[in-house]
Amino acid sequence: MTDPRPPLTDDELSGALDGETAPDVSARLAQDPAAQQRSAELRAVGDTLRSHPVAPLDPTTVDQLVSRALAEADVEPGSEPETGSEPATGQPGGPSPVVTPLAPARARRSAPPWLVAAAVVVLVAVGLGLVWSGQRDDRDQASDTAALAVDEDAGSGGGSDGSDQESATSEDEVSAGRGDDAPAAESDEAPVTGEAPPLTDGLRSLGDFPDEAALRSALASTVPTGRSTTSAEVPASDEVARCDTQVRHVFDLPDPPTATVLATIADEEVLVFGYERASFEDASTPTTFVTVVDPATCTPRLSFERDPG
Amino acid sequence: MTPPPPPPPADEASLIAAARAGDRRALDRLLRDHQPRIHAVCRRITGNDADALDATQDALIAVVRGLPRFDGRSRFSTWVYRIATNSCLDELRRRRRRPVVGLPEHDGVPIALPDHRGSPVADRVVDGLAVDAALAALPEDFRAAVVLRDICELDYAEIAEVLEIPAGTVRSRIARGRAQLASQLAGNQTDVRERPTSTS
Repeated sequence: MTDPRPPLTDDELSGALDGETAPDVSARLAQDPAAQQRSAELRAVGDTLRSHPVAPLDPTTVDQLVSRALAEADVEPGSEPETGSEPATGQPGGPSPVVTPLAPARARRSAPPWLVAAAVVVLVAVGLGLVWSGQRDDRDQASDTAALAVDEDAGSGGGSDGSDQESATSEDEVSAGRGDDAPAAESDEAPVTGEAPPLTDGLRSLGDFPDEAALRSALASTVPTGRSTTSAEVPASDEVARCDTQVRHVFDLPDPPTATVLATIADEEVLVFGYERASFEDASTPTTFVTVVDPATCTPRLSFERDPG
Repeated sequence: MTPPPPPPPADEASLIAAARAGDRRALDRLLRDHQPRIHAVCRRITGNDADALDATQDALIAVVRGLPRFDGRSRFSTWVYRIATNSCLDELRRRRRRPVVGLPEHDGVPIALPDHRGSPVADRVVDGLAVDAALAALPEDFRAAVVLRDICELDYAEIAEVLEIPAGTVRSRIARGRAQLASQLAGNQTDVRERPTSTS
């Protein structure tokens, strides 16, 4: 006697493969060679997908992805879109991204208030220095040069008024703070303003690397010595300090960096910091956390923990 | 050197709690633990490396941003898959809006591929490309359901939660997706040279 019921559908066969169907379907399947053939075809699909696993990302890329995501943890609450709780489709008014593209997300990032305040103070100081410097230039550059010559001849005994001394100090501050304005010979001088030497002191460059992976490879076991930098290459000390502060905040690093160097990745300047710290994986193991950031935005481009071994 | 802080907790629930409390190392560990699954989902749903990378990045950021709102009603992995799937579908939507510009010298001209048949590596690459092509031919709804089932091995209830659709719809989408894939992949078993090209 033939089975009066219609043949098993793909829905039923597929559900049976996943154990998500009524028990009688399995019984019918056992008695239906055609359904068994179809079931085997559907099973082969899953087998094929599973037999071609996605290749894992390389460690450098994973470091970059995680670093950028961790940096987003500083976004102020309320400024980010809802994620993970809304469907990606079917929202009224057209598609509304559950997550935002990277570039806008980075653009919306806001620094902590204390960082903004510090940046404002630095900018005001630099601005005042430039204004004073400009005023002095406006007065009489020739006589100023002459007065400076007298100062040099007479030492501190006199020959210049207070404003000139103030101007000179301001210029020194600016030069110390912004190495790109300072002659090479002056870049080694001690800073006027800082209690601690700026991070740019003795900053060296590792040279150019084609990509992050190449730089990571170079930094895998140690921070290479590199070459001396020219003053034009060295970013402002406040930029370096700001990035150091931000990196330590983002990655919860208690101590200042033990290594700070420059490098370029495809001609884009980056700052490389090395921090001695306990391993993220095993807190009893000391290691070095290396992070590479864009000096302008302090956005991590690459972060990794050096293999303690 | 400052004494090392305590290590992040080992079990996921504690790790999530620590990450929500602001422990960066716990958050770092969570992201690294789930990144391979997120990337696998994104690679299979988007169908190419570049979009998968963008979607993975978006998903990781969304995990970081959404973690304070994770209420634990679903499994954390289910929640992560949901974010990843949404990121992928958003990425596909953005891709549709992007203009596609072909290389002028290759527009409309079939590119002759070297014949490496017989080499195990080449066969595997070809098979992988066939899987990509077959998945790409599926409607996105079917593709997401099949990937979540056959690659992520979620059950129908979890897939229903991820995609926010009834379980019956999940079953239907998986079945129809598998049926189309079976047809596509069976067609791929023929000799490469016998397959029709875009110009034939």
